[in-house]
Amino acid sequence: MTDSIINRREALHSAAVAGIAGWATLSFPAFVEANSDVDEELVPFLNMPRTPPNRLDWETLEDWLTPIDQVYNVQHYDVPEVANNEYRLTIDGLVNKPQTLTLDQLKALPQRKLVSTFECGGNGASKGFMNAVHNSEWVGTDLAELLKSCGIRDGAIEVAFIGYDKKDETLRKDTKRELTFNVPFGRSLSLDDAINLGALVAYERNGQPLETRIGAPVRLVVPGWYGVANVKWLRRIEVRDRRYMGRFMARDYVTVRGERNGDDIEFVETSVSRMHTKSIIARVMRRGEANGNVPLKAYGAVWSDGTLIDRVEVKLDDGEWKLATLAESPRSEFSWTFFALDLGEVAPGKHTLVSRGIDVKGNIQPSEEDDEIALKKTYWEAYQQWPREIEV
Amino acid sequence: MFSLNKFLQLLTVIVLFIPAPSFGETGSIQGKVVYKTDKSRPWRYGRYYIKNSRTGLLAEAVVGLKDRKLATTNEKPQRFTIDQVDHMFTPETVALQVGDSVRFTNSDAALHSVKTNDPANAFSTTISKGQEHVHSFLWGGNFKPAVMECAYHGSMRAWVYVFNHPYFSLSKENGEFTMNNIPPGTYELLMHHPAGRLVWKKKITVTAGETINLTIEVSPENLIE
Repeated sequence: MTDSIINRREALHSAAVAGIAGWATLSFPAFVEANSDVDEELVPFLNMPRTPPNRLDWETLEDWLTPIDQVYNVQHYDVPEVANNEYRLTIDGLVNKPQTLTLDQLKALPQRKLVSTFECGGNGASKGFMNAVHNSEWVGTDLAELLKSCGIRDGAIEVAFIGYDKKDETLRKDTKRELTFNVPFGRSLSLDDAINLGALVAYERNGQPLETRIGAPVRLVVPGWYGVANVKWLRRIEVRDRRYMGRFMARDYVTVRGERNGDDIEFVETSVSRMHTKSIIARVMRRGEANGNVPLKAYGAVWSDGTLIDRVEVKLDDGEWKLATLAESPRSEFSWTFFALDLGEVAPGKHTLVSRGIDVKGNIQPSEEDDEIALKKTYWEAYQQWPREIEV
Repeated sequence: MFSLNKFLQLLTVIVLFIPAPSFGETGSIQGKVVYKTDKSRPWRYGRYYIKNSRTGLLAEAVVGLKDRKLATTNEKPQRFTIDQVDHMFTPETVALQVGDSVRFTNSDAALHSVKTNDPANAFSTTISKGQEHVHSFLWGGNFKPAVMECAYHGSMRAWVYVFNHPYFSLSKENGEFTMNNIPPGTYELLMHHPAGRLVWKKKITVTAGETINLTIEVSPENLIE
């Protein structure tokens, strides 16, 4: 699979559903230029913490590709400094031809670009952590081709990705069976996913070498999967005949969710993996006053695991859901799409507005009250609608 | 082995027991910090520190004197609190005197840590929700703040400015700052805004019995890279 720019027919499908004709002036260029429009003024969201550097600043969002000073980093072990000339990537396990590649050897292999929206598995879990998301253009080596070049042996079912970062882990703490061991960070994909998801062994982001804090010199990028699957400081790729059960597959980044079975609720544990269809109002802009009311526009972004977005709807206070306009371009299969909606002239006072993304498979971004969120007991995969409060 | 930290602690104890010299009459410096916007060089996060873009009054700027001779005893050590809430150190910027301490807490459900690589105040600790860690700052870096980070959440930052004298001030929401009881003399007056990466300085002469009223005006020209 390659990163496919969505063709015009597909893009227009969404636009047509949204009734783009009436919103021609709200297409993507207006969003890009919103900050430079001297007549428009930002309406700050109420009750929101500051956005620090190295996180996406929603209220000033302009760039389809996120600049590095707004790219988040979360790590659970150390942040290893791996010199380019000392870097080695080993591919071993159930392969006919194990390989150890230097960075130069890796870069000499055929390159591929991948544009994808990249989201932390915990993004949206709290109002202080709803900006761990970015859209990036990666360059690297196709994972599937790399694996195939090593010759995958019969019996292989899974591929583990191991980083340079390590830490002591303790199991069954404060019991007689306590066990402490030093272990590298690791995640895995099924062999089928490793071959078919279009994953990249990446060494460039937005035309630049990776920064240490985001995985330099080489990291895994799995389009459409939450950040934890995208192993940073990638050291080893091991093809295995049994499941890899490291902390971040089996004990952590595990979503616990209740599922209704008749009158019962049964809890199910699943490993954080594919991203969900999700949208957010990025900012609201006002333009002067009209008849004592305030003309407002809302702008935002919507993304998914690669499933085509059908539409975005926006609701102001207790009003009806209204169709937003999806930007026609730029678009890419795994990237976010910007949207905009003219909210009309709004009465002075406090208001709440919220968006919901809907994809072509019929997935509707749930509210906090919907079962799939209300019965979720862990904070990962926080793809619920996010109401924004404003005062005009 | 006699570590650097031990040495610094001993030195701090010595400094703490030096009585404040009697300076007789003193002077004051007060005023406000104003940020002049340049639309061609927008400050992305300025909205958090400047409530009114027309006045430009700048909050959370550290204003203080830089002079080694000013080192004095901290007779009433204070305890400050920096909470980790909504994945932010709150407050972001703290200015204190050698001997003061900070109580670090975590109000988030997420696990956080506090660490600083500041050579004189280095420490690292993990803090779960409801836990706390108290750290005493025993060595003054003055305008070289101890930068606090969370090991897990790379964008979390706090700046602790540790002064070895009491002649400093953190500007309020209205941009105002005040420093009193300053011994007469000529000093270097500095302004740092760590979140905005703004730096300003000026020679200033304090005269006994007088208050200097000052407007510190900064712009993107004061940005450091």
